Amino acid sequence: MDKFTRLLNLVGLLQQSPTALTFAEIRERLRGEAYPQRDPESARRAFERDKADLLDMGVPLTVIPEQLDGSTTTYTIERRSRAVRDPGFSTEELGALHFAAAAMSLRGRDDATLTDARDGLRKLGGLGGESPERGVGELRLDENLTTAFTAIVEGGAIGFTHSDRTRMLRPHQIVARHGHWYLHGFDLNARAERTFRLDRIEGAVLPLPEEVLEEAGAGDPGRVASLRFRPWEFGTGEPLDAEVRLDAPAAAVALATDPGLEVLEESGDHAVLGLAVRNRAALWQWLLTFLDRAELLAPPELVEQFCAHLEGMSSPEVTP
Amino acid sequence: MTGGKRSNLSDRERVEVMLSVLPWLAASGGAPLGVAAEKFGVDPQQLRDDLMTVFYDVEPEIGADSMVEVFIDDDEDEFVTVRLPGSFDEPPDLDHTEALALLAAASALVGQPGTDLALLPAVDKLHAALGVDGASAVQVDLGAGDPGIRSLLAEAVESGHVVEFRYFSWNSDEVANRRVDPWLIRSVGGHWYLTGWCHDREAPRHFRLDRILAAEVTGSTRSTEVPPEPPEPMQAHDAVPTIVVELPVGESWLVDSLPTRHIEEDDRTVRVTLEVRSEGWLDRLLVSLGDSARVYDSDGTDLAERRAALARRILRNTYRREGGAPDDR
Repeated sequence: MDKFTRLLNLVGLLQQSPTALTFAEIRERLRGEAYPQRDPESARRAFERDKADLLDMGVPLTVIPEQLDGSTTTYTIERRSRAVRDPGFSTEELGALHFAAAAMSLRGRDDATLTDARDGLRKLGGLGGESPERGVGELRLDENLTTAFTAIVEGGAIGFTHSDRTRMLRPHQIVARHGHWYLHGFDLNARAERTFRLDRIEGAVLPLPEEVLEEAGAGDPGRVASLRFRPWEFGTGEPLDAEVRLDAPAAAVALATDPGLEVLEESGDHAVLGLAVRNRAALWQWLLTFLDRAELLAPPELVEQFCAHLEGMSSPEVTP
Repeated sequence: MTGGKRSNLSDRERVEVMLSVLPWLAASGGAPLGVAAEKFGVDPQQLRDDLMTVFYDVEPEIGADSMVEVFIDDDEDEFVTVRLPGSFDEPPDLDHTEALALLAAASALVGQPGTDLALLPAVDKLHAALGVDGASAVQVDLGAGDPGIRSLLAEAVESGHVVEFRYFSWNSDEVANRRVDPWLIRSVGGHWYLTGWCHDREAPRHFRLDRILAAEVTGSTRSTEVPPEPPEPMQAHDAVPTIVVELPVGESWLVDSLPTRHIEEDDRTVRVTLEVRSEGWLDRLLVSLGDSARVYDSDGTDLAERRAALARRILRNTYRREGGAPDDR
């Protein structure tokens, strides 16, 4: 029996059987044709490979391990899994999803093209309809992102190492911006909302057991506002109100990147922006990307500190 | 252009198609073979062969009424009907990886010009099936820029008309007018780019849309053909000069969004080889890296003096002050 036929027979048998079956029962009911190997261990290995394939396809094959009473391991296919049921898309909606999936190139960590969106659409019968002439954009996805996403869907917690510290987070939101994924949620150690850049997480993101959340007592997240990426606002304490003058091209770039920035004054050749500053180093970095197209105007103490930073930079120690 | 139909599926992919197509055919009361093949992305002949294999060979238990019945009416547009024996009747669920991939792709395009109106309700349904807040759980921002300019450029790509615009070149720190044959617009690394033939530079160029200050479509038709494989923004080139940035290990994130060629790391220091996109790009990098960073050119020369000259230039031009050693500019 070839693999295609064997896998479908195995699925059919386990779905029809009212009780879970042992491997010996599976082998017998499939009339010895599916796993005909003489050596039982060889037959079991072939079955294990098929089981792994089905699990990988998302077939909810459940293994009920050997019990204390000595009964052997049994197998069944659950009629309802914990995964995502078909929400009943219309033909037009499936067509729109198919177009989006074809327009966006999804790549993994090693730059490999991912087929997950197409695989999902196949399950939904959504591969018909138009595809774009050319791709519109690309996104990178990886296992850590999926683990975080699963925790959002299941209301669970995750653990990871970031900046040499172990973090426990109840994630609420994942955001792709400027080519990076950001993870936002309730930090169970800091007892506060925090945002982490996913590619700065060291190693794997791991799901944490439910008890972690119960012990930590994290409440419902509520609705999360859109994340703003203004690093000079990061930190604690009262912010300083700063004013920055940008020439017209620099102002156009700054406002295109963040249209919500406060514009205090605007003319044909410049704009003055108002910024709430908690993190000076981040402000310096942002100002300096505009070279001499940006001028920090106020408050005077911040201007002095920035000039001192520039003066320090202007007298370097050159290594031989 | 229609979705691709593949006849060279692996055994596993053929099984996946069957697990999806059988419950759909049963629930929908049947369908023409071609329609089913297109919906499930498979060649019609492959689908026909596999359905017949299921009919003849998939019968887990003889006599247990476990046979899948398949009927293909060749007189009626190859209309396929199936009768299921109490198995294969539930369509497979999406797993979280698939759901995330679909949500990410769809969320990226919701609200973009030209997007199908059915996409938003589809995304809402997917969020509802997942039980998460659709307004916030997954957000994808493909890039900034004036939507009006993007829409205008997209129309020019479509119509094949030359565009003219004022462009703030980050690399040269200059604002100049450009005349371009627009080839395509795409988002790479979270930024929108226009790729096309630049008549001023007489070469293909990429323009970040958030640095286009004003644009208009001319009456002229583009004189260059859109290449089948247009160059991609940020493609690495061996000929590009490099620098080495040396940073304490804890600050290596400062360069992790840059085009890295090579990384060496010990317990305390990370040495990152980066491609130099332009002199202007290097200037911005030099002044915006923190004090703990050292930058060397490909000959090993410390670029601290170049950084110092930039700092003096900013102090003098912007703050009317002199700093450090006298500047030669």
